[in-house]
Amino acid sequence: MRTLTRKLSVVLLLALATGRLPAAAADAGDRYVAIRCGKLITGTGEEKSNVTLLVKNGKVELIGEKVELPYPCEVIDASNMVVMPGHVHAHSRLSLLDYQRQGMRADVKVADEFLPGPGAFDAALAAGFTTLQLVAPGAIGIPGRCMVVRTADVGDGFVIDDDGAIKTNLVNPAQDRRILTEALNGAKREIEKAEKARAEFDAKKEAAEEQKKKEEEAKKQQAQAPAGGAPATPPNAPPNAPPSGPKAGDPPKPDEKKPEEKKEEVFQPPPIAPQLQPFVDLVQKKAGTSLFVKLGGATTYLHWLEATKEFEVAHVLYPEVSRAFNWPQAFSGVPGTDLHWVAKQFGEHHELVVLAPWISYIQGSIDLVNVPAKFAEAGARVALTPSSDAAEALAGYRFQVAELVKQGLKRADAIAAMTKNAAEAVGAGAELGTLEPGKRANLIVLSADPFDAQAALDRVLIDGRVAWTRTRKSRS
Amino acid sequence: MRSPLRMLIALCAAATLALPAPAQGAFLDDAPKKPDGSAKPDDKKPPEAKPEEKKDEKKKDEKKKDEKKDRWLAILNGDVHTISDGVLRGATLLCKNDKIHAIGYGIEVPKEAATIDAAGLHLYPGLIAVNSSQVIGSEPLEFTTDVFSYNMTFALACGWTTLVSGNSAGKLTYGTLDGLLLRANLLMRMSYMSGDERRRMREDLETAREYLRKRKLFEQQKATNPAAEEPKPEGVNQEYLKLIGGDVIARFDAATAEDLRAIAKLATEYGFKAVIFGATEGWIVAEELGRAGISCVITPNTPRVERDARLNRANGATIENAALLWKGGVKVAVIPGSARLGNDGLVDRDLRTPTLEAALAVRGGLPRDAAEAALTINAARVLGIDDRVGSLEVGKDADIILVDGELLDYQSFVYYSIVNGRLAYDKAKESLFRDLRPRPSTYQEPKPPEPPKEEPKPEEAKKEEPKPEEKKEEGAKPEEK
Amino acid sequence: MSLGSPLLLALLSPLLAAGGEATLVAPAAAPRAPEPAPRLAIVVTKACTVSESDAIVDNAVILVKDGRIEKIGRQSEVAIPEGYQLIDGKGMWAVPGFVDCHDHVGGGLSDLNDGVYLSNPGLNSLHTIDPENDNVKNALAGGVTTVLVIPGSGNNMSGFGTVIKTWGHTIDDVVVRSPGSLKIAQSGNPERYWYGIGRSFMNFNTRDTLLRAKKYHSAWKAFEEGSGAKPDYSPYFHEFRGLIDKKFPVTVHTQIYQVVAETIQMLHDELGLWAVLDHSEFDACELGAETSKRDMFVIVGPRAIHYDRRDREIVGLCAEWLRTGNGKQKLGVNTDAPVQPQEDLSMQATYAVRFGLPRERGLSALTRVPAQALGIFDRLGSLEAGKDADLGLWTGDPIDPASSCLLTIVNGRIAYDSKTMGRRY
Repeated sequence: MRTLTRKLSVVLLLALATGRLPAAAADAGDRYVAIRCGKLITGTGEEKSNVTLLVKNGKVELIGEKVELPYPCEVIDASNMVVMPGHVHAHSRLSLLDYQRQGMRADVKVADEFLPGPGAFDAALAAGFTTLQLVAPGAIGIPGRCMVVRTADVGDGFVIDDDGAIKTNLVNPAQDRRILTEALNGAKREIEKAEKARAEFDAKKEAAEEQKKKEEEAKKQQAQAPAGGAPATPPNAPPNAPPSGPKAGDPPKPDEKKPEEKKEEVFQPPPIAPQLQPFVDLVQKKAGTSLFVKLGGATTYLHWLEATKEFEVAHVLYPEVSRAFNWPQAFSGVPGTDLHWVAKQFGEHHELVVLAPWISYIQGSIDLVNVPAKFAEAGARVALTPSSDAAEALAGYRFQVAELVKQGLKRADAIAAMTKNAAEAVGAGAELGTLEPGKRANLIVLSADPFDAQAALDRVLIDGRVAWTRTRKSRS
Repeated sequence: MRSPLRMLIALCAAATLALPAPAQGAFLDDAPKKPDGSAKPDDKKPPEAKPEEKKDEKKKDEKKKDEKKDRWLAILNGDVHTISDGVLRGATLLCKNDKIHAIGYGIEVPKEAATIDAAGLHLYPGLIAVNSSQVIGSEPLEFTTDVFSYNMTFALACGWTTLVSGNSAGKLTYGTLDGLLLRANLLMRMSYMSGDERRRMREDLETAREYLRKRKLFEQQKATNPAAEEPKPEGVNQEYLKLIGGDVIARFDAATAEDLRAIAKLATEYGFKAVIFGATEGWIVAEELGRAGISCVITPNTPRVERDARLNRANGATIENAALLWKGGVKVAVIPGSARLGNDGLVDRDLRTPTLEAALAVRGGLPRDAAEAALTINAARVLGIDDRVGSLEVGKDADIILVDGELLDYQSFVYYSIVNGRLAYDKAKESLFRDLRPRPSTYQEPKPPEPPKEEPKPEEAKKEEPKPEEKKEEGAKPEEK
Repeated sequence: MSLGSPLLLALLSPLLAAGGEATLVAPAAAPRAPEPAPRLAIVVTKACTVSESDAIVDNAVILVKDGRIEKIGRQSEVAIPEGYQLIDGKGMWAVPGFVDCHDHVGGGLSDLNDGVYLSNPGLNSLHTIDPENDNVKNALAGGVTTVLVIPGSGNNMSGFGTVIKTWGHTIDDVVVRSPGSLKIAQSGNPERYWYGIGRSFMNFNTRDTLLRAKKYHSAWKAFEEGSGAKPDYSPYFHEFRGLIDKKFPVTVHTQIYQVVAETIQMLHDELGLWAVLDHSEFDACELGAETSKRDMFVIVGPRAIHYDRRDREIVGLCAEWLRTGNGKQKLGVNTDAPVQPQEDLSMQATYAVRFGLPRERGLSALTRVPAQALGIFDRLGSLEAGKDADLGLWTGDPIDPASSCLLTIVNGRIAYDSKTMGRRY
């Protein structure tokens, strides 16, 4: 990956310097799209004027002021418009069946139930969303694994990742924390069990080898009397040797190499319950396994810290934030309005946190608090995502983010929250979220700045293909 | 009566013993080795944590280092009302982690300690509510309590630091889950009202006592007499064994003199510890309750129960209940009539006004120090948590409230609440009562320990304005208008 | 309950009705006791006179004769004459008997609210008074000696209130003035009278009744001045004549900013009535500038504090009224007994002072101000020579809940003595 990036940056540098493509670029069969951008918001923190963004086979090839276009190449003229990465909705249920699972169900994948009806994502697409994380329904415990989809099928189908984050509730700690703790400890036990089995296996093998050696020795000593006996013990017989003391208690090393290298005898780890397997992967820091944690409020974040004290698990936090829409109750808790109290801790832990683009009331008052701004200031990575799948929530997304900017959220933080961080929040940061060479060309074209109330969506590109335009219906 | 002077000397002595004025800088290294309270970092370990776990060594080590660093809080120049041992005027109270480390004069304050200049303020142990609803969570408290809730701040502002919910005692650890649960399974609830209940309970207690008697006999004879028969525990109420053994405290809810008398008799006969909630007619049988060693939780101004003239005996409620019980030798704890924390503005007797409630006991004749104890040490005693909270003593939990007058003065407000050695409420920084009798905050965050040259200057924070004026003005007030 | 009262009422009612033409307000009944009131010399460490000057007399002696205060002064200046029974209150404070403008227990709670119509002119709480009911008797143990017994607030106009003393055996013994006030409830509770009753109709209804009463009064006035025919007597409207002549006030159940503003505008400004604000709770406390400008009385209770969501803080209602009234607002407190027990009136002041009211105003809120609000300050509400000898002997500052009232004197007689009668509060 790193080398790829390096190569790409070399290409980019070349391109920037010369404005030309390497000669070999225009191979037959490659599909090029060039977008002339009046303004390009890359999502990396840069905003460029009057540049051309060249897409090759669905991925960003280069960005430059003067780009020599290959032939053939589709050209989109957005020279009086604004181009930015497509929006990412990190908490969607569009098209999902409403199975409210509860308890410990990490074995469930919403991908197994994924069957979008016609136009299922049209409202999202028409609002500028190119990527959705479909979150497993269920308000108690661990209801299942999420998936990540495109909002339109432009040739490769909808699915980006069918094995997404594990949805975990931590809303009511009395039940949710117990479930989470049991899951993590269960995984730990499984790992220890495997370690132990492994140690026993090794010990037994060692003993067998010793035996073999001895036998060979004996054979040698027995002069040159030839014999064809095969002394190797059957590999998969359940080991009966006593556990070798020092190794058994050792914590598992996440970077442990698979025992497959062994010649004849293959270690078979003991089977793991399917519910626990994802958590074993999680504790062992397997790439692509993470938790998507729905939090109830400030106190539940403290429970999160306590519950995961002994583990280092990849995660994204999704606190429930209520909206400042009606008269606040004096003392009764309104979900999430107290989050600002833990902004500091969120910053200290450099959390990646998904928030609805809402201004909240401080509990028991009519004072407003801009939770996303507080979090960003404290150093947390904020991703902003629509508050629901309702058409007005989707369509009002940019407007609501603009409101947060008006109320103190820095523009740069807001852009990052809509692009880079949002993509990272759905585990697709490597491919999506920013417009830079190598990333997928998921982008939207707006008639004005995204925070301008008059900005209209002009078109949406997914993997370099136009999925929606203002005049044309979606292609999904 | 205890002599405050004697105590003061004793305390000073204790303080100097504990802290033999070490050289500057050496103090820190010395301090952890002192036989101080039992504040250990492992207190904070969650139940699921396994000590042998060693993931990501580097991070863990850092964490450990952090945990090892002691948390100091020094409260300077305040009048320390220990409840257990009199009052130390203008003294220093030093908290280390979640415990009280030292109380007295001339105490060395570590450089990195957070400080509060409490000149003009009075320190009391945090108040203990033997019953509450909707302030902290329901059992299990440690999972259901919202430590950022407004009710928690409100309760701290009213002086509470420990509340009972269900049968567990929880602390108002604002902003942290550390040390929230003080103790679960506090009291053993019993009812001794109807004839049937009484018969059954006596039978069960008798069986339990008989078993214990036989057991003791067996233990004695076992060595010499191999034929000794071990008594069988079948059919014996295990809870009652604990009760008779003094391991648990029984809780009764009773009001009439007749019921109270019956409970006193039972407790005397079987020698168990008991607390009675309610005890409206306790004043009638105060001496009997006192002799039986029973504690009472009462509401001084109980909703009036009119004396029933048809009962040819004393009956009904009286404002003197607390005082008469106290005279009878009963430990009295006070709880407001309602266990909630009202915000509707009515002059209700609820958790909002613990000190006014205790003042009503004083109205009925209870001495002030007994009324203060009724909200603190006696409340702790009836719950069996007086080893941890209820008075300001070295080694006890650092749960302290700082008040701008005597605790029971109806105009006094709480300015700081400290729970487990952490500042949990600062009136000046919290809007709730900020504008009432305002006073700037003197709390100073712990200083970073790096610069070794700098002297800790707790004295400098002492830009204290003159003491608040006496509340009870004698002369005529100048005309307004 | 004394047997005398219903009989007496039966006699009294037609008398009042028929005689109403001549006497608009029943004259203060002289105490009709079987034996003459004793002469008392009360010696106390501190006497809070709560007079207009808030004078405090240290080491005071109060001479009581014929049910009235004869003299009050320092022990060094006032000699105790022969034949005066000495009441030794050394170490104690003498405080005027407290006055509660809002009480529902004078009738023992049996006749709180005759909610027949939304507006019930003509009803009178006088007919429900039970001088010996326990609630009233207990008031003495809290130093409360005078209460205004008013009907409930289940409808807009529930009748006339009665000012009574909390001690006495007969109606004549206890009644200070009848009618004591007209009770109007402007909003809140009356909305529950019937589905669909809102503030517009309630205000129309109240205004309409009062305008009709005014018309009735002018007709009678014209007749009395010789310029009109004699109008028909109306049991509905006759009592209103005293109200319109400002012989007694209208005490208004009113709270919340908007409703109190309505009260000020309609009852005070438009109809020109002597309106006293009762309850005066919630955000109404921001109207202090309006009420103090009009010299209106504000009686606060039973709520004493208000949670202000804008600033997320708890404010004392009395303190806030005083602040918005630029320090000039006249403030009293009430219990709305039985919402708070009648004997707990002082606790209302405790709360007011705890939450920011100056202490001496707390004391006047229990005594002088409510007496002035009801127009009985000439007889009650302070310790001054010539006034009714109604006072409580307290172990200390009566606003401090730790103090207790151990002796209460009403009309110059010992009405409650904790030593001989046992502690009641």
